[in-house]
Amino acid sequence: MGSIIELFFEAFKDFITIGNFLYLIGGVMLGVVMGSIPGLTATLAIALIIPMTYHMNTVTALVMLMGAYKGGCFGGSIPAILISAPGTPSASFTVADGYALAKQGKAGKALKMALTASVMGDLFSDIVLVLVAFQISKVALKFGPPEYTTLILFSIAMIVSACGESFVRGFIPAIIGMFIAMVGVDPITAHARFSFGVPELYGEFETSMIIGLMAFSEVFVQVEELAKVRFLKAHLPKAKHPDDNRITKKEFKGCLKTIFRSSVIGTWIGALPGIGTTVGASVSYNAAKRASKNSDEFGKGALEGIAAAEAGNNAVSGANLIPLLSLGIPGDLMVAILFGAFLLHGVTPGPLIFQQNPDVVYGLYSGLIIANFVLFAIAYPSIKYFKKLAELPAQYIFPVVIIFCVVGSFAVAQNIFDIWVMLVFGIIGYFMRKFDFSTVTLLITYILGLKFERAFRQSLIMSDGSPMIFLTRPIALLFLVLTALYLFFTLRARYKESKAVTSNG
Amino acid sequence: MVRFFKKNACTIVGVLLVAFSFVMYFIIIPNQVKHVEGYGISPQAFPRLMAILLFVFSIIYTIQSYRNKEQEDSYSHSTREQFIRFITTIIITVVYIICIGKLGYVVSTVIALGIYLYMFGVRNWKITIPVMIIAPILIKIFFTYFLNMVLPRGMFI
Repeated sequence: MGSIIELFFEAFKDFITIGNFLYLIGGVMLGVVMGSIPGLTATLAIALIIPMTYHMNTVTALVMLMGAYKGGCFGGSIPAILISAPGTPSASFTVADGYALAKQGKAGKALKMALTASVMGDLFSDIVLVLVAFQISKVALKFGPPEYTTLILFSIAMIVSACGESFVRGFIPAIIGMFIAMVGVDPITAHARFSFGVPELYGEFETSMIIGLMAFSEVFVQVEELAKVRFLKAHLPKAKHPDDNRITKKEFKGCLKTIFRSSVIGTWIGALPGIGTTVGASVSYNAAKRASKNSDEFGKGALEGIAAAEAGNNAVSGANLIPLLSLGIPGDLMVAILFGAFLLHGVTPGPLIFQQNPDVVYGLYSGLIIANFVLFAIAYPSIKYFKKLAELPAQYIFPVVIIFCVVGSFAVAQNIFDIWVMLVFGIIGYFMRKFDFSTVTLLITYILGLKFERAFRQSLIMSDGSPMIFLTRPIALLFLVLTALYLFFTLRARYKESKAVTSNG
Repeated sequence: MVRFFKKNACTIVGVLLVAFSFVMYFIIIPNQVKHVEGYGISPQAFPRLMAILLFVFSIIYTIQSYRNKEQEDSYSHSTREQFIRFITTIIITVVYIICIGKLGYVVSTVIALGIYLYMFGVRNWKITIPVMIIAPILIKIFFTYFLNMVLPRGMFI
């Protein structure tokens, strides 16, 4: 533990440079702006930032991306509170209480509580990440290919069952993600495969794929909707009392327990692959409601409700990095995109990262923690301007987003082919959204695909082709049993749910 | 015909996925993945396993969709106008990508941005014209001078 703290403080000192701070501030601001415009999300922000980070130092690039993500997570609460339109899906649990307070002239109070809870939840989660990830990685270093195969299988099972209502709608994109991962070069024989004679397909195209699936597909969805939507305006009463614009000591004390509880819940959820910020916000909100003496006020303007939802959803973000850094498994969309950024900078996330790139890991930790203070320092004094942000017309923003998608796809490899890849994945992503297939599952299994195949085939090479190797090694067997149990209980719960719906309706 | 496609959109997607898994298993994998001995299992085995899984899940999906025709599906709610807007965006983007390599980034982006703004329902030309000229130039300056990245060059800039 001592060496972790030493390394952390060493990296902390190295991190503090004007350049790092400027990029971090830029990332946070961009995240807040993007998160606060309904229709734009934190994910979209980081998908568009990735190509810009190509020439940056690895730590600076990752911290800028994480800053944007943290800013975006909080930014989503701004339109939720001011115009009752959550900027991000996870902010939907902030809408009821936040907008109710705003209608009473207490928008400032609601926004300040959202910001405070977001920052505290995030900070808690980052500290847990610093303390836990290295310990898990030490265990993971003992894993061989069979253990990795079953661990990835378990992660995929969790991701598939967490995405969407139907198992089948989760598995199909997961398999397609695996197929896309196979395009290029065979990980064992190094022969070209699925390249159809196109040399560009031998290389990697993560960045264009991420931009297409996550950003350009959103453009297609919005181009259908936006022409109908009028500009959203916040018509809210002004504060009647100075206290309406700030959090009093008593209110802060009253919410502290809720913030702490939600931070623990959010961190736990974030550390599990595939669950994500929306569930973090929902579980935290419901837990706070059950525990509160004023549960009747929830949904009608309870500060505790805002604190719970915001601390819960932001606490997911730091903990999300635990499986990524310790096991090399991206558990959610943002981390999957971040995985692409790691690879773009020549760093492979996984247990070895603590030995091979400690400077990157501890630099990232420092940046994550500082990003919380930067977010607070930027957002707190500018709360009065947020109303304007939430009213920014998305009709002007999306065309510019298209240009960023095109330029960003081109910029990494200076290749027009990558723009075509982006467009193709944009179209695929659009249809997937239309038919309720999870783009998140596709992206994550694409990232895990090659790792899974390599580990699976290496295991079979070790056992001369016998699949019994997965049953004779205890840890591999444990993950297999966990996978089977997880799928069984999830399927059973869904079956019961659908049966209840049928009998009620 | 259009009504049939809209009503059976999910079933059709399921059938297409089944067909894709067949094509994958019998045509693409044998032609695109080289069979090599001595690596535990054949390099074709893993892709084939995935093709089989895709086949199984696509069959389940097709049956579920066929049985549950009235299921609320966002695709079937897309209007003709929305679909045309989607196709138009693809066409404009295809033309834009072709032009960006031939005309250069700035000229093609200024034109494309104007068209995109119009598509998104912006009709105020006092705002559109400055946005379509200033935004591409700012992006060019940002990428070229701040990020040291080269943007596509063609006949113009």
